[in-house]
Amino acid sequence: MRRSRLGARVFSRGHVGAFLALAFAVFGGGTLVTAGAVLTETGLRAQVPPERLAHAQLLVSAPQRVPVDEDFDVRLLDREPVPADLAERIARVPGVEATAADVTLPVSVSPISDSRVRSALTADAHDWAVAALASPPLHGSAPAADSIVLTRELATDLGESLSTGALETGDRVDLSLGDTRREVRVAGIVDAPGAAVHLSTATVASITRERVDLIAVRLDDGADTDTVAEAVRDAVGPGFVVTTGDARGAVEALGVGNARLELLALATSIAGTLPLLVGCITASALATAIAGQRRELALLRAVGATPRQVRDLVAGQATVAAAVGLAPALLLGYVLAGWCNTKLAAAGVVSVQLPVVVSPLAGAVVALLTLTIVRVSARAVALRASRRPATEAIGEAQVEPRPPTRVRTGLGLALLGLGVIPAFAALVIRGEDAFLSAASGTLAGIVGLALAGPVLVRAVTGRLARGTGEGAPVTRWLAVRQTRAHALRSAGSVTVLALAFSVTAVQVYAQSTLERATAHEQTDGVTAAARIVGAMTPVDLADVAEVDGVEAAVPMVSTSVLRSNRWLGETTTERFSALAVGPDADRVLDLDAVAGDLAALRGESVALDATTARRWGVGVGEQVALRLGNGEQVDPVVVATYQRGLGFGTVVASTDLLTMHGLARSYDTVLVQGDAQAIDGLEAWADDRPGQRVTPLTADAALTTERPWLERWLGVVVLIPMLGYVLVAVAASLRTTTRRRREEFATLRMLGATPRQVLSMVTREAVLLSGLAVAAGIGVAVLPMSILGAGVLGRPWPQGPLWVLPAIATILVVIAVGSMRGTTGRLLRRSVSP
Amino acid sequence: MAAGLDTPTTGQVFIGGREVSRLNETRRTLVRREAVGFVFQSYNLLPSLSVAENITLPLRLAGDTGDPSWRDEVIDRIGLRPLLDRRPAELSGGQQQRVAIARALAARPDIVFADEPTGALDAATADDVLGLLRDLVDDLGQTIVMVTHDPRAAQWAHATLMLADGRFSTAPSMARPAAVPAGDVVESQ
Repeated sequence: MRRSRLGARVFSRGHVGAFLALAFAVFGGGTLVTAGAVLTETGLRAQVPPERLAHAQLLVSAPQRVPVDEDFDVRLLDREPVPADLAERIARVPGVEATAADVTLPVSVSPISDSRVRSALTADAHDWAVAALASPPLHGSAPAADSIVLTRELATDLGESLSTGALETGDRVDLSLGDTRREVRVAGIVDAPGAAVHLSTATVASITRERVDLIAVRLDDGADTDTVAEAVRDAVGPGFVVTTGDARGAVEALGVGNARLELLALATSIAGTLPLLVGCITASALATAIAGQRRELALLRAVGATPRQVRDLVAGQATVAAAVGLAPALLLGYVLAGWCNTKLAAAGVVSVQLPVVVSPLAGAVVALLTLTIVRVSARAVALRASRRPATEAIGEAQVEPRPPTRVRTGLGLALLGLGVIPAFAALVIRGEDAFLSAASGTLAGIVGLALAGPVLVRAVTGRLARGTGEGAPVTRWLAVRQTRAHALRSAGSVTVLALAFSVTAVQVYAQSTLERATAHEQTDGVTAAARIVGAMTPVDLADVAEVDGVEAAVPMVSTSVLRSNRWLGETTTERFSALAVGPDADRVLDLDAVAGDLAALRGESVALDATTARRWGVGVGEQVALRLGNGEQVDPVVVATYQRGLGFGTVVASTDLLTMHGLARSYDTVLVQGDAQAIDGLEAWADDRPGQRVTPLTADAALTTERPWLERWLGVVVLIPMLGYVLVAVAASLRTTTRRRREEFATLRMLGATPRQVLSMVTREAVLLSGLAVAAGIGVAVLPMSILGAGVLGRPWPQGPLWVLPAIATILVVIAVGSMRGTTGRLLRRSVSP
Repeated sequence: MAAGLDTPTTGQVFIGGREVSRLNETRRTLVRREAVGFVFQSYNLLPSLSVAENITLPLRLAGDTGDPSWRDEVIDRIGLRPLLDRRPAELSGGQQQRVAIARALAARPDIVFADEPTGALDAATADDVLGLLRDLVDDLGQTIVMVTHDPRAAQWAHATLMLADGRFSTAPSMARPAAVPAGDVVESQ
């Protein structure tokens, strides 16, 4: 062992460049993977301490997830309720001082000044009994049937619009709660966190009778939290979750739990695909490093090293190089994770900013994984070189590695073909599945290219060689022949450059095509005259409907539904984003119905995307088993199936379905049908309401989804550092392979080639390599994206900014030419000697 | 240095009557490819090119088609006609060195520098190659300057200079193969 370590030190001295390339590959990849791992750990373990319910040492809630056989549970995004009478059972447990049932109701509050309702704000309302558990500083008295308590923050916000300062005890406000509006008195102002309204227990009970969000529990002074928690668990049974400590934060605010889920999904998708990429780059850097010392390895074999010793030696070298790159990568990864976390929350991709979990675990896992991968792949790459008979090894050490086997080429060609086929799915199926299958096909194409690359490069350059005969300039003539003769070496560079090109093309065009198709369907599908955005209650909706000229006002709520399906004998549960719309949906929306009518969307009913309905095997008039976002099982009737699934989602439900099953949410958007007078009236109505915005919809104004740009383009944003990393790795590998050609350049120089001729030859080789890569990228990525464009939008070319293709092609050429020409220039500055 | 690969710190180098020691790298290259041919110990053929392409490479680099009849004569004289389409990797060491010699002669240089041309060859093959070089001198009037450590190889020359400890010394008299006429031994100044 010690001998081979010594060998590693002495030996790698001559190949510092190649091993630096490996160290760099590990550094770049390690940084990104560490950041992904830290965010994954944050998604798994981050906790935000509770605020509003901080004084309740225990929170008892529903599990908030649907169990799935042999898979991770599916989280419910809306609050899963618990029975209100649970509070009494908990109150009987020794050590419990008091309990209170917590609910969150959407209300809108407007101060009344000079007998006029002013500036309405939408807020969450809670039962005063919950806040009272903490005995917070209250100015005034507790709320009663005709009065409410405001938090200091909300009182200030409401007062600002009156320019009279914050509201005070005794002021009168208009309160919309459920579908009623009444005038109430401000009984008190409380110094508690957030902008909220507190109602009397009786008022809350008139809205929600049996089901509440959770039970807040306050313990006796001196009671041991863990002991009481255990007792409460026994009292409530296994169907409920008892939470203590900082974990309560995620129970109080569903957003925290949802953010963890969002972050986890995001981080695992990055941390999941990255190791593949890093593995490829590292393996290629390793292959270059080992190819550079084939002669030394052969010599070692000749002087008596066993194949195993040779592999030990190579693995030792690779481990040292990887460790050099890994150490700074781990540090930088943690910093990068913190930065990403802030940016993601600021852009709204993640609902709530979670504190990054900084523990050595993520770093340790990445380090262990990376070093293992490097060691194993170093042994694998060195396997063939180490096993050959020592004599043969010396003889062949100077020539190119042996040509690839037929099996490899055949498999590669098959994968290349298979890569394009999924794109054709877009011609038949609609929806996001088409995008997914087209984009995933590209991956197969890239792997195919890596396998069949040498043979393809040889075939193409062979054809070029026949085309560049005696008459061609000598540098072009040489460049074509050199590229062809070193097909294996060239194919490696072509594959990585093509990977960069195709991954960029797919990320950009899959997203832009999806956006265009979605916008297209939404523009065509919304027939309303105006749209109002901002949280609104049923009472607000009634106000809108009464504006002169308004023919229909249809509320919409974004939610999610779960569907369990049996597929090949296994039950899978999937979550789908869903849109809930109010009655008269047919007057503001045209979903391009295949069967049924949107006018029937009232009560317990849904409309389904036609492709999905086919897959689920349900038709119009039949019932479909779903779970709502809060876990309630429902069996609504399918009243219509529609084509515009990209623009409007898989499921369009009736808002009645939500309210009938305890999902009384405020509306996100209201679509209004009416004339010009209606729009003027709406704008006047919205003047007094800072929370709502009215937008008239002209024929070409799309109902663009309000997703933040970072979320939509996250794929591309994540891609940029990865791409930079890939390209720097390619540049390093090209420099290493060019450096190995020192003797060849010296020979050419002695045979009469001027430095300019050698440079020109290398430049042409670089242009040829990057040209081949771009051609391959067009085949692997642009072709599927064009088929996708044809299938989804009827336009057979990539849908999106076309300048991306020439831009990335130029970057590839600049990198290839820059690294190969630069290295050659440095080699040529040395004096010519045999 | 005499071949114009490097420049002297003092003194002058003339190739074909032209002073090359003060020329820049590109100009020296132009002089070299017109006037000088090289044969190396390790052949230095480009593995990506066929035998024919290797032979014509210096001419192509000079942007010159050369004299086809001269090239054919060289190829036939060296016996490479049946090997023209092969790659260097498919040839024996002796055959590769013959290709290198043909390449050196293709541009009809004033002088060919041969650096240990037989250093990597077995004795019989080395004799073949040296015989060929000698024949080229005798039959075609080609000037060849050969550097060697092998006294047997040196015997094939018309004139021999001994270099010891960085200085030319008078060459000892050497036995020569019967078929080879004795050359002049040039003494160092």
